[in-house]
Amino acid sequence: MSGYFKRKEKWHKKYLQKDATLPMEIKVEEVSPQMSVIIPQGEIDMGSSGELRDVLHKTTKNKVQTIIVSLEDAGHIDSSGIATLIEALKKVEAYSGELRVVINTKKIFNVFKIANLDMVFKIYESTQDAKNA
Amino acid sequence: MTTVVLKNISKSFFNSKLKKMEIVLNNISLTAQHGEVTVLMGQSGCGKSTLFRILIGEEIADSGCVSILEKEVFPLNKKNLQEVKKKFGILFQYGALFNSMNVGDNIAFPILEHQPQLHRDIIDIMVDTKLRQVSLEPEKFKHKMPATLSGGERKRVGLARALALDPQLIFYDEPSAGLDPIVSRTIDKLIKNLVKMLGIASVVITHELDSAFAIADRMIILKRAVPEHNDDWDGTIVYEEGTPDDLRNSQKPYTVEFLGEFSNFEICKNCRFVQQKQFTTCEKCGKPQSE
Repeated sequence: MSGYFKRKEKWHKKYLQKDATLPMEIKVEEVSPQMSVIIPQGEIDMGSSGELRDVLHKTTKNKVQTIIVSLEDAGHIDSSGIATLIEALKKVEAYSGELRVVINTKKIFNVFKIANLDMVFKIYESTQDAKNA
Repeated sequence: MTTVVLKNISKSFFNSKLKKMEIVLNNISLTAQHGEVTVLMGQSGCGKSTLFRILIGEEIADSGCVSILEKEVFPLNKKNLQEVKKKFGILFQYGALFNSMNVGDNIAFPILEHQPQLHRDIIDIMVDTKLRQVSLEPEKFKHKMPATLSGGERKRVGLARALALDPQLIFYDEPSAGLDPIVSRTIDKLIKNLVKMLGIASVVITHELDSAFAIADRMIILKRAVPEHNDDWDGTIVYEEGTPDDLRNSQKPYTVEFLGEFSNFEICKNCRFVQQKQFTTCEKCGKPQSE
């Protein structure tokens, strides 16, 4: 990281970070010790993806074998949300787990498709399908 | 939804040689719709670039009104302008990359400026995703310096940076100028995909006719109004506006002259491939041209 970004990051941490994150409700359903369903509600954008990251971090830290992220109640996901899922996928794959994503709208599916991520993630149309897979 | 509205924009510059004000834009009104590619065309010196700078807030018009994403940004409203600037991306003609930063830092720059709360690891993944979107391999390009990139690569990195904040609107200044036909078509395809799949509105300024016809949903041709009897310049006018098919079949003398040879070509309605009228089927997708 260049000197400019280091100074910038330090400055932002000092003055801005506390106010920057917007709240987002995330439901976590523990189906079994080996399976968790994470349901973010509302828009997953640059202001709120940090919360999803925290929840995914806790789940991957416990090495839950199958994590299902249901985007059925998410109105929108931006590239920071996608990046959060990619980070989680890397962590899950490191302990040979599985990350499944539930998408039921074309709008959200297109965000994955344009970045060629529809081939990277295991995508299902409903949470039930993801649980049964 | 109307994404960009320009109403009665006028702009003049002081000509130090003639020691008088010279009108560049006179009473221009334009609109660009959500989910559409709007292409602005016109001969050199007709005021396209001035209009572009006014649109992105780099130039202040003398009079008129500019609204972007339903927020009025001119007459100058700094709060709205700052808010709107986060929601649109700009691809400059030569990429306008920071030469002192590598490709990854160039793309990360707007994210760090506007969304500093994001974790650095997340930003790194976002940069990789944006590079893949513009068909560049992150491992190969992320650490390169702009000086080592070719023209096409610079432009694609510039586009990745324009996409960094997931904009709702992108302004392109000559996106395919100086590129070979293959890279040019890749950029055109990318612009079309962004509009089709994510609904991002695009305003494109270009001279490349085949590229313009391949991507445009609506085209606007600007003309520099030539004074007949005096040397007082009365500014650019919007000469003609319509779909690519409307303009291709236009009978207006300036449009026919400007589009020139292009009137001998047609666009496939299925894949928008541009080819000469003499062919009965599309050379790319094979569909009959009469369909």
